[in-house]
Amino acid sequence: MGGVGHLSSCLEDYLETVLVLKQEKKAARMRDIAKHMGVAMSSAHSAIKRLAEAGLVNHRRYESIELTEKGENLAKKILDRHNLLTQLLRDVIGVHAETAEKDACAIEHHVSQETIRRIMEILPPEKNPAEEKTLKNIEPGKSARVVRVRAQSRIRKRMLDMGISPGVVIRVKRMAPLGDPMQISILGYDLSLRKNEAASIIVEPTD
Amino acid sequence: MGESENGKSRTIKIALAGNPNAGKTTIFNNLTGMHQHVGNYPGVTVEKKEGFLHYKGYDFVIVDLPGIYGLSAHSLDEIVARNYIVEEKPDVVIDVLDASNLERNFYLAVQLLELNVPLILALNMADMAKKKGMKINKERLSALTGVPIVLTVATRQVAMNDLLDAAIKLVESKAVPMRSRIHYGREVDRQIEIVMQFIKRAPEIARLYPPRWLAIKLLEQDAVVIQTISEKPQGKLLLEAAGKSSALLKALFKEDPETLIAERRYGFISGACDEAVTLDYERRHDVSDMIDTILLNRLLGLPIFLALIWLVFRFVFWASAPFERGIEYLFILLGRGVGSLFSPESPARSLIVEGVIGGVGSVLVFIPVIYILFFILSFLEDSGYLARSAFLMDKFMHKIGLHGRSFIPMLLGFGCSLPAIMATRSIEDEKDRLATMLAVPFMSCGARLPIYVLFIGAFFPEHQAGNVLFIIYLVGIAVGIAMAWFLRRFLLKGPTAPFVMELPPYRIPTMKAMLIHVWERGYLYLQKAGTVILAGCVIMWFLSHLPWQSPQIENPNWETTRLERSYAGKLGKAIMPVFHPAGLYDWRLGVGFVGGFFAKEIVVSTLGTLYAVGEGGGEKNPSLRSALQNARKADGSPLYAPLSALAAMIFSLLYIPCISTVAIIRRESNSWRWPAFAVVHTIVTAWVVAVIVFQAGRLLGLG
Repeated sequence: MGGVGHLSSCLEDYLETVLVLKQEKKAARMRDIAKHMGVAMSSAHSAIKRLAEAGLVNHRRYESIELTEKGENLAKKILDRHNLLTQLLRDVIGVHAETAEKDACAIEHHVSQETIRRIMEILPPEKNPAEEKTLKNIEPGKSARVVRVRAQSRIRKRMLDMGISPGVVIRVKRMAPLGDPMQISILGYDLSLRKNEAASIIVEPTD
Repeated sequence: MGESENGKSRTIKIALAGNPNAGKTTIFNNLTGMHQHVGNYPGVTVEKKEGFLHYKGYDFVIVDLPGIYGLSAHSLDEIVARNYIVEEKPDVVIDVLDASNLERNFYLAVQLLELNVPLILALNMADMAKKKGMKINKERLSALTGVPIVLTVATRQVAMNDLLDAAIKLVESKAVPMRSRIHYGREVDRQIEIVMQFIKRAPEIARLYPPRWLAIKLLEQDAVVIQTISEKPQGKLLLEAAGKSSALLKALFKEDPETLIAERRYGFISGACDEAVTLDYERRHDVSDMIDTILLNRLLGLPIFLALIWLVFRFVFWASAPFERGIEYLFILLGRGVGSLFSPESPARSLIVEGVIGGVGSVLVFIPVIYILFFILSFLEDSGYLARSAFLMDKFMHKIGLHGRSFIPMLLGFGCSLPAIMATRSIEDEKDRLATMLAVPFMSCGARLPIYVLFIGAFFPEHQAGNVLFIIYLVGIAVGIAMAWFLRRFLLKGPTAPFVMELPPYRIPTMKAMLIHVWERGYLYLQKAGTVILAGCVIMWFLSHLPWQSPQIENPNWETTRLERSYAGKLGKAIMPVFHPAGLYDWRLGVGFVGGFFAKEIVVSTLGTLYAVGEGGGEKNPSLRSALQNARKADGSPLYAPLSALAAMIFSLLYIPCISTVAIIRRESNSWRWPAFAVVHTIVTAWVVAVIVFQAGRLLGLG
């Protein structure tokens, strides 16, 4: 069996679930894990116990399950592999996104490292968040294309209403005299927004 | 649609929708002229404007919906507009678009298309679009969207009747329009289908909204729609299904369905614009851009703004003063005329002359300043500069938890709280607006100045007068800012309103639009606030004249005795112990404070009456000054010292400016809760600050 570590495919899925739940809900509880995996509480219990024995998670009774450093690294690798496969199936092979998700689940435990490396080479690289530029970094007079909008729901909605959506080109015109709101030009009209709002708009410079 | 028996006079109800600054209101004004009615949507402070006209045998009822950018549930305006369209089902919805800014304006149009309402697109400012080099193929665009399109130039009244003709045609043709449908991509469309299946199984819900629109809104997880649906039978099932679909899309695309859907809409729009709009221009340097380089300049922007506002301020109060004096004079004459019909001793005479006629006079005396100020404000707004002023001041206002748009109302507060509070209407966010409204009264208005002049003149040497006055104004500003911050932080908690705001191109406003705006403001003031002010005046008359005492013409001090023995006099005396910690012992001042609740001018005139300094006892009257200086307590020590005079001024500054302010807060917040809160919190704040000033001053050895 391939895989990242030497866990059974079933345990890999449990580890992945703990990470996903932690990312989504901040805490992974036994009940949620069982629900997410579609198994009985007792099965979840024994699986987590085995992960704990392998030193991948810490679990005390009635508390949420914490990943150890080792466990977290492994879980991230498993999740990355899963996402990579989904991306391959959806974007390159062209199956439905749902099918891609399901099939990636089935395949992921049986793929060799070599295959994974090869897939990474042919897929367009995903951006590293640290290198992302936001509208806030764009100097007056320069333009940039919107990649995505990360603002919280109310503000993002407003931005969408005003035309700030992926693919649109924005030109920064100027900062207000006090240095804060900025004036931008978009879709042929002028808009103002605060710098901290601009910081939630991820862009790629066009010039 | 109502139809009379002869089938001739039919009513067509039109809702005007559109982005702010697209010319919607101009079209509304053109169509309905002065036949308008301004009110509020039930339960909210959003203004509802309705107009009427008769055309080609049809009666038109036209509703000017609030200007909006989309149909989401994120702002009150959008909810109001959406509910009106969905629930009231107007016969025709006319979406007014700024043709020169077509792509963004189309976003709302696309959402209206999805609502499946009888729709007409009015591409307004067609002339501007042409100037920009845009050639719009109306037929092509109409074919792409499946709705009739009219090109208009509202500022020059072009094609206004075409709009009405199109509406009649749309209503009379029974044919179901062929709508083009936006495709959201395979996955999203599939989820829409799935949710629609669930909707079809719940007939009670399917009746409420167009199914496809509802499905999209549910995928977007629209809070208002979810709320409505959850109260219906089978709603839970539907919501569960929609929640699953929404979560699935989120997992698939690593993006909110809301964003996904918006993206596709813009995709559709840019496709439609590519096909139907041709651009042939070398982009000239826009006039608006040139004006911005000066007015928003790093160095010049703020000085120009402050100078401009200072000029406006001076002009408004300078220009309205003679009218105010004229109105006052007229009412004095009227009072004398009417008074001569009664015997000088009858209480009815006093009630009618001093209570009613005086009250009407004090309602009308605000009219000049409101008219002139709103004329200029609507010039600033329609020209595009008001949005710029918010842009310039936002950083500063944001620091105290408010929005850039709060600055102008706060500044106007130095002239008069009344129009300042009315000017808060330009603030979009409800909480920002309320916080601004409640902070404005702390800005020292013109009516409070006489009090300072009197006390400073009496208790401070001339070379200190300017400084003391300056300190008083600063205290007002500081308390106002603290109050706004406190309100936003605790009582009116909530997320800061985004500053994602359009800076519309500069335009020369039309006289008609400005006049209508001024007319509306004046009307609202008279109708809604005027009645409360009048009632307040009559109540004040009762307080200061009852129990009734027959006038003793021969007694020169009769007015003094009468006021002292009235309820107001007794009330003033009764409240005075409360002011002892602030170093204030003069019961006459207490009566003045009671009168000042009605209008701050009254504080000085009450003191004049009670100190019996005779006619012309104004703030500069030397005899009133010396009367205050010489006033003694029972033990012979002076009633006032500089420190207690300062406390008296601070209290006068901070407590509720006048009954009219209460009335206007009632009107603008559409509740009794906030004006009541304003009365209580300003009085408490005023007392606390006055006491602190006095006690701290005494500790420092100043008193």
